[in-house]
Amino acid sequence: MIILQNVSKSFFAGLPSEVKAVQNITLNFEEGERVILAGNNGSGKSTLLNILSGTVTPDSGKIIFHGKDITQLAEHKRAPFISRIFQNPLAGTAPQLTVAENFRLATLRSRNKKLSIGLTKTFKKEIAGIIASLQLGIENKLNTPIGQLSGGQRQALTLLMASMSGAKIMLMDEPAAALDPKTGALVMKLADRIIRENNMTAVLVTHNIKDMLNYGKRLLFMSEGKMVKDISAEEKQKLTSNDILGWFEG
Amino acid sequence: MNFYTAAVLLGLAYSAMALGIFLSLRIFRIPDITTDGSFTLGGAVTAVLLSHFSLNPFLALPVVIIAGALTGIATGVIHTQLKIHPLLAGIIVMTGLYSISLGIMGRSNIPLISTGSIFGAIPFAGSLNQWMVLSGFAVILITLLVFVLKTDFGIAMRATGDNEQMAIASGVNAQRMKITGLAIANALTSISGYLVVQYQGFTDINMGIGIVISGLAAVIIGESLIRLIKSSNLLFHAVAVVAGSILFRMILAMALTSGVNPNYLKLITALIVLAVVALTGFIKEEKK
Repeated sequence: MIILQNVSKSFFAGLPSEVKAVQNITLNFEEGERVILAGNNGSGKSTLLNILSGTVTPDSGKIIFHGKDITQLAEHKRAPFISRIFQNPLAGTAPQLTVAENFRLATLRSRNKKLSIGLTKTFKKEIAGIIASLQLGIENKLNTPIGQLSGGQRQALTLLMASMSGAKIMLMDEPAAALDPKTGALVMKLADRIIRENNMTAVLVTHNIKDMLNYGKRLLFMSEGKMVKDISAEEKQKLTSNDILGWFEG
Repeated sequence: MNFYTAAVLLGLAYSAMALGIFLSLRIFRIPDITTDGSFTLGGAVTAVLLSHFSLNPFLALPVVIIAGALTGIATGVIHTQLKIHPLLAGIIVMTGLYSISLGIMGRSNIPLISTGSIFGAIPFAGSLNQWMVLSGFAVILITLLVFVLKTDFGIAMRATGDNEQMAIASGVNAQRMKITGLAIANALTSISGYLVVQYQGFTDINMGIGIVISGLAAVIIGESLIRLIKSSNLLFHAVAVVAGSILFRMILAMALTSGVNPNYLKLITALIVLAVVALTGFIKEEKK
């Protein structure tokens, strides 16, 4: 579905401080595939996600989506099919906009932002039903600026917004790392449910070994910009947390 | 005419600019000082169209709006495409605009005493016309701006200023959105230029110098009003900005009637803004 071909990216090229963040990586993600991406800090995981989303343009190599070369496609033009969840739970929502306005923007992801009122009573009713499924009581706060909600609530809403957008790819960079364990677990479960229900292709970057074993099928491990392990679902089931811990220690 | 009545009318005439500053500074969080240039340009275009071409003042308005929008586009393109800080981009455009306005006018001052004006449009007596026209403009502009901000386009616009990363990830072309926003903001500013010169009866090439601070003052005073009622309602915000513009002119009028030397007008202006900023904790909020 989405393919990386010999993709490389360096920062500070030509300087002594050059960082080869991603080195010659070739990967193929199937439709509906749920992938865990692990590795030490600075191993290139986030850069790889940024290359997929279009935030970073690779120095060489290609990105192919459904047979089309999207290497040079701007980030906002990839938005209709790629949605992202960031580690910072506040990053995915616009704080001064109300809950309803944030959701309105999410549904416009792949559509023109027209000069007409789209935030109608019908729309609000519709999203109130969807938000109620979170059972966090936010459905009564549709007209509250989203910045007044907690980080966990905002991350949960960000996930829900991603599910409404029709995007087929979900990139998640440690979505639960900044949350308390209980809220974090709730967010992870919600993400898993949304990805399965919408048959999304998902890449999850995480440092949590439990999550690596519990979620996703395929497991990728990066080190110093290279993809050093690509574990299939069957192999992954045989892994123990000590095996994975060993990789981190190199 | 009473000094305070004049202050209220002037406050209404400047309210379009205040709404423009509200859009650039508060919605987009861009400190845009193209204002000084686009305000004068609005006045210059109005003066030439009314005095040299004897155009109907209402027909001059679209030309003024386009001229103002172009200045915002210039600043927006310099900022987004050349990656130049918006403050510097604004200074560059504002500086260039001085010569452009002077070129349009042909000389540094054009009187508009014997020409037509929008205030002659409705056949009422004296200052009633000014009240009707200026408050009419304020109401129409508030309504239009608030409507635009509430549309899907407006939500995308506000998201761009509020969380650019999120807006881009939601498929918003943030660069184009900023250019559009600056265009609207400076079109509003040039409308103020259009209204003010017809109100005061002349266009002067120096009339825009330092004018951005009146807009800032209006927005800041408006925000302290909004803080009293603690509302996030956009309509209230826009109305408060216009009220801020009027209050600011009233404060200035008060200072002047109390016998302060008019040469110190700009100093008083600066001190008033400083006082309001310090009192409302504006800076703290900016740091967040």
